[in-house]
Amino acid sequence: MIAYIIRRLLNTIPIIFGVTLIVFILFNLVGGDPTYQMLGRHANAQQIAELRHEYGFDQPKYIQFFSYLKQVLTFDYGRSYATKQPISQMILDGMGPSLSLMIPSFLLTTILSVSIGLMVAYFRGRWIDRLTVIFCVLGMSLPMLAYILFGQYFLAFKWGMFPISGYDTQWPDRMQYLLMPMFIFVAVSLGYDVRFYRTAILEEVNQDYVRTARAKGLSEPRIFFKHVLKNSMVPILTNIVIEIPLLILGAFLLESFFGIPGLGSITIDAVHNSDFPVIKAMTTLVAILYVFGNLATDILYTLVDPRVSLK
Amino acid sequence: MPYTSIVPREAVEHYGREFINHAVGTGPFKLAEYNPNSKIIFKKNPTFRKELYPSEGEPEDQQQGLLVDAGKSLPLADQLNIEVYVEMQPMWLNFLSGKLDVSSIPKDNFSSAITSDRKLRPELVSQGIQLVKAPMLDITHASFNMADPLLGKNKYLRQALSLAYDENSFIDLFYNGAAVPAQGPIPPGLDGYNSQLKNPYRQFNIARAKELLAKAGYPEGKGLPPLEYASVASSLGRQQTEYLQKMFGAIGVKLNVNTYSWPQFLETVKNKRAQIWEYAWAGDYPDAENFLQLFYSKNASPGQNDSNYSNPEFDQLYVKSLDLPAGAERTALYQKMASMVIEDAPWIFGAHRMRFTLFQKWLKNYKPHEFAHGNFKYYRVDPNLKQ
Repeated sequence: MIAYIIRRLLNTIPIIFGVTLIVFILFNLVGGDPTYQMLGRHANAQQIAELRHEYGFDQPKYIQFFSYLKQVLTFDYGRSYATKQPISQMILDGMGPSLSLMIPSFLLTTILSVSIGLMVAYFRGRWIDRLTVIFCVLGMSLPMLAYILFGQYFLAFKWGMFPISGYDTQWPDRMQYLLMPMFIFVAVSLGYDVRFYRTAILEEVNQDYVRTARAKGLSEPRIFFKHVLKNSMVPILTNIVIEIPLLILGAFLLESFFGIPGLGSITIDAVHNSDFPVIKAMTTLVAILYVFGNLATDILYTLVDPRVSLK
Repeated sequence: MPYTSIVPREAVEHYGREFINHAVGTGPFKLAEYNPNSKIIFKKNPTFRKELYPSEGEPEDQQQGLLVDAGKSLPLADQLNIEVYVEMQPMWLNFLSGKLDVSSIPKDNFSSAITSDRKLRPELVSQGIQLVKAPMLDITHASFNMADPLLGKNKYLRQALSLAYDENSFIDLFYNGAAVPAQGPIPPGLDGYNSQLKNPYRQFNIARAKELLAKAGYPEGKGLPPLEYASVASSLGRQQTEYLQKMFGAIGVKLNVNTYSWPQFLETVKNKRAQIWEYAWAGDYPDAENFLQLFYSKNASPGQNDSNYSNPEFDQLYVKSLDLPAGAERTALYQKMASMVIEDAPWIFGAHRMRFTLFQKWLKNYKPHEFAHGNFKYYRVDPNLKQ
């Protein structure tokens, strides 16, 4: 196992190198010269030249690329063009608010969707299954923006059930601001997740070993919860674990509309302001987290499925 | 002018590049919380120097209740919360529910707040909400690149395009009517602005535009290659571009649109690679010189004169005006310079926009000004009215 993890970690090096190369090409060769943006319309030739020198934009591209690689390795992405704050600090500051929203939302969604998925798979073909699938499709069909606009206007503004938007740095005051975005996250995610888990479980239900278990006279709940659920865990875990590292990135739309100063909101702001260093840092971070999410999923497979061994 | 704030030397030396992230000063408030994505909180500075609320003001100030606090120690408020919004809906709903004291009006909510004759809707008036309208001291414009071999050398072509540009409908569509059409480079309120001026190439007139297009050598647009238009990639940019294509299409001029990210757009313009683009300039200080310098040839790209206008006579007058004090002679020079750029049409003069701001009845002493950046110390919330 240890050897496998080390080998996989070594494998991530070329992947991350490839990602950084693509990100660098996208932002440094295609994205336009940022000095013009930083100085705006007031710029003159001398100021442009000075700033280009200060930021190292007048250096050969390969040196700029190595500077960027160094940033990735040292987690020091320089400063935001818009706020002039150190980006690494912005990322660290944004993780807390994002996780405050995403951890409870994710846990609630996962618990609910796995439970509902199990329930409807158990009652497959009956009215409760059909009704759930209809609601899932309805929930998936509505974009998150519709939930947000409806929630803010009716639930918060008209009926006063929640604050319209806002954030508090202190607990428990923060909770009141997180409730509505959390419910929206659950509502939007539930449809897809329930259908996914239902399908994963139903695939197992039709396997030969289930027929054998029934032939042996095992009770239906025992077959379901002891055998089917365990074997369904591989796709379920894939879906769950791969998302965990990405939780710190928050939810772009929710943070942006509800004024939650997390990484999602920081990223949206950066896109609005063409704040390329922040976008570049966030893109790199997403890629790295995704790679590690994949690795974690593979390792966890061994825990739930003895047929899988890591060599 | 925010560009020339006085800063403590020892603090700059101490923090170096980090100075920008440390508020050091002697102002009426202290920075208590700074999250530029969400909220900025200022608290009263207990060591602020003794400064009193003014007892004199403009003639209407007394009547508007702006001198009630005369003689009181500043700042009047204990705390100032600045809420930062990325999206407009939550800002607007928070204002309507009384959680914000001041707000601008989002573009999509404009008609729900303001009537067609630019007054506050009665339902908002009945809540005690008040409206302040103020010119933004800016100008929007479409720039022609005068260094471009086609557009730069053909004055009639530029004048024809200017006449085909229907600014009134543009203002209605994109600024909710909250702007006045610009006749020249100087905005209202500044020395040199002439309210009687009618730019002969800014009165929307398709027939006259077609005449000038023929005079330019392209009758009905025949023989004229499609013009290259540089636009910033955004939904508003796309809508404005489509509208411009329609207006120019009415006289037979085709417009190819090149869409860029903001840094790419600036790089294209500053390197003289764009042919036509939309832009705006907001005054840095209340003097027409700040607008006329946009046509001074020594400021050509990558400087502020990004249309690369060059007229030795204009330059001469501009340099002369810099040495003159405010007065009739300088005003005459400003107007002469304005008439030169009107005739040469390096820009299609767009609009001077108005700022519409709403504030709650409990917010006292709110009197916005484009160049006064220290007004927060005068604000006061009346707790009885807020309940």
